[in-house]
Amino acid sequence: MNVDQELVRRVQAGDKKAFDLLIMKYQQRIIHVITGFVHDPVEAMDVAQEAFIKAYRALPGFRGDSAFYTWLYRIAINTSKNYLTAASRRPPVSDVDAMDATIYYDAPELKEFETPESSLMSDDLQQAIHDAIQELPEDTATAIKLREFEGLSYEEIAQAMDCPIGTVRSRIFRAREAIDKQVKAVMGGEEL
Amino acid sequence: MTIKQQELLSAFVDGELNEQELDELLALMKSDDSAKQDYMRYQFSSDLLHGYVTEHKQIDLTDRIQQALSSDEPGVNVQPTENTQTAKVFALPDWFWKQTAGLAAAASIGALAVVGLMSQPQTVMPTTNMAQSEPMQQQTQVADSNRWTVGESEVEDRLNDYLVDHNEYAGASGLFSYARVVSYGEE
Amino acid sequence: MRFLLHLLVVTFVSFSTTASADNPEAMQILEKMTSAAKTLTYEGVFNYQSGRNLQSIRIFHRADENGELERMISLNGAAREVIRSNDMVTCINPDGKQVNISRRPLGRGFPSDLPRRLSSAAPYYEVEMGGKSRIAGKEAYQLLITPIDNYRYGYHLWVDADTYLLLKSELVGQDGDVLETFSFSSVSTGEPIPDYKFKSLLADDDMVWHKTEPGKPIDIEKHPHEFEWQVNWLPDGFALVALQNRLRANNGADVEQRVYSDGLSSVSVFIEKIRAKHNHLHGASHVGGINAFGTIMNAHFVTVVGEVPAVTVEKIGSTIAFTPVNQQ
Repeated sequence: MNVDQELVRRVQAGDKKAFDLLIMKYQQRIIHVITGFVHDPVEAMDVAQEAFIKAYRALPGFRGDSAFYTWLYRIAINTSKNYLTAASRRPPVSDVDAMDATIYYDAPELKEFETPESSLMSDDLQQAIHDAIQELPEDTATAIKLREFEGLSYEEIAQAMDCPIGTVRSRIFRAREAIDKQVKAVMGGEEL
Repeated sequence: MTIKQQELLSAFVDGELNEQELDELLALMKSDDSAKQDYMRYQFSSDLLHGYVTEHKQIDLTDRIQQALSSDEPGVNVQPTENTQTAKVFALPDWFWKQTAGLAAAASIGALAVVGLMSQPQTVMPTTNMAQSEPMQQQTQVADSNRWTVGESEVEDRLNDYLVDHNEYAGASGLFSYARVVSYGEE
Repeated sequence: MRFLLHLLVVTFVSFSTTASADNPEAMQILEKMTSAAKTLTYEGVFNYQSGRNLQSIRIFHRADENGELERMISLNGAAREVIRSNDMVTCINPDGKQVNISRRPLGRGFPSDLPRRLSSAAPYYEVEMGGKSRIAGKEAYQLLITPIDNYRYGYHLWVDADTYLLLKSELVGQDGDVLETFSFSSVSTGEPIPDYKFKSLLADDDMVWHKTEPGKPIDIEKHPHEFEWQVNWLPDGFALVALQNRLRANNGADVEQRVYSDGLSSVSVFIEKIRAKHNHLHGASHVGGINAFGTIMNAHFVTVVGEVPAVTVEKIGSTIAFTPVNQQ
């Protein structure tokens, strides 16, 4: 089952809570995309909110021709551009060119932007995540790597590791708990 | 929150739920506030790995979006204005039309060329995205069979030319054969 | 500028036909499958997995009175794409800011003679029907194709029971390992696809366009040097099916390509004159299910490339010999 599709179907059938799940799942990523245009973090959150609202309203007409995220991504970029136009600010020329090239794709993994600020912060974090994965038991580390870096499904991981799917699920869960712990430690108790 | 329930939340990050589990998840989210918190932690750790995290903070827009939506019914059925809005998304920029004309012209004069297909990722300007947000991914590429196992870019380029030329004759993979070209060197 | 020196399609030599007891139903499905890939209009997303790499690729394919038009776009990472219109192949690499156009001399013509190809392949593979299963929500016949020796790979194919479109394909190694998988996750057939979906949205004026003006075909009779190279060993059933020469637009190298096939698997031998000091592949390399073997001989790069086991390209490569034409 395609979980996104099913959630979309439920929102279309009137279940608002199902839309919450879609927001929770994609908000970080969408904000990340928007930050490529709208650099101010507070404004970026506003634009993200607007994008999700637009998506919600347009959802009855969403026919699932593309993946939900791809569709949402387009809306986010369009909303960002509209926002910049409205604010009479022009996005940096190079950004626009690069984005134009990708907007029209039905792509689940579209090119996303990294702002200088976000790159700066990622060193410590990346190190923390790396350390967390290093310290995991081998099976757990392999499972999370296959999932997050190789993009394999649970079934494919189960095949690759010759174990039941339930084991894959619990390994990935344990890896995420460990990563979360490590990240929190690095962030010096900062509330996440 | 039981371990099983937490595993369910983590599996949702990966979209790995069946219909019954999705029902369970929705029920859990409605009944237990800590479910949302736990889920957000797992999602955040995944987003971190993918470099999607722009600020140190985990962000949650669900409440403000739901508020905005409820103050703004009939939300779901607002169609006409939104249609024109989304239609814009599909409008093609000018350079596209310029470019397609070029492509058509090139085709019609029968331009022929066989050149290096894929320039080297090493010589390619790395985007910040590639270079900085996914260092871990690069570490896991040792067993990468998606590229020729050769060290030099010149040799790799030549083999790529050959790969393209050979693909026309590739066997039973038939309609899929150019996938090898399209996905060359991707991780 | 000279370009296409010559193109020669060699008709299949008639193989000794001790056709193995293949399942006639399976052979029929195989025939329909290849014709469906060329005559159907379809669009979808398929996954290409090789080793631990998994790529999602969107494909648009339209077949009408104007011929075939196809576009593939990589959905992960850089949105690399390939557009084929009949015999023209355009490869767009946004990262490298390059667009490469090349004409496939045999283009749509190959492999049009499928029934003959398949019957020529028959003695070297066992073709059986597997069970029915569902791929991308469609009922599919499964075909199991097993080679009779270790010089070629096997294939598992899943073919749409309704349209005969190939829905999934696995390249299978000698020990049963799956080396490559192509598999539609979603596909629709028969719906018209508008023109704009075949246009690249990536290529722009910043890109370097590599193209070369067409040249005049040159009669192979006047260029007997083509035959100074001999391939002295091929697996049983492999025969020359195509031979072409061309000049690469990017470096002017003169490259000869010979294609040998047993009807299902194929191997290309590339012979490229070295024009300056360059490095080349020594020995074996591979990408996905494609193996290559390279060597340098008489100031030429000699490279064998094919979706066959490493041992096959190596053995073919190591038996290639150069005999100056005046000694022939």
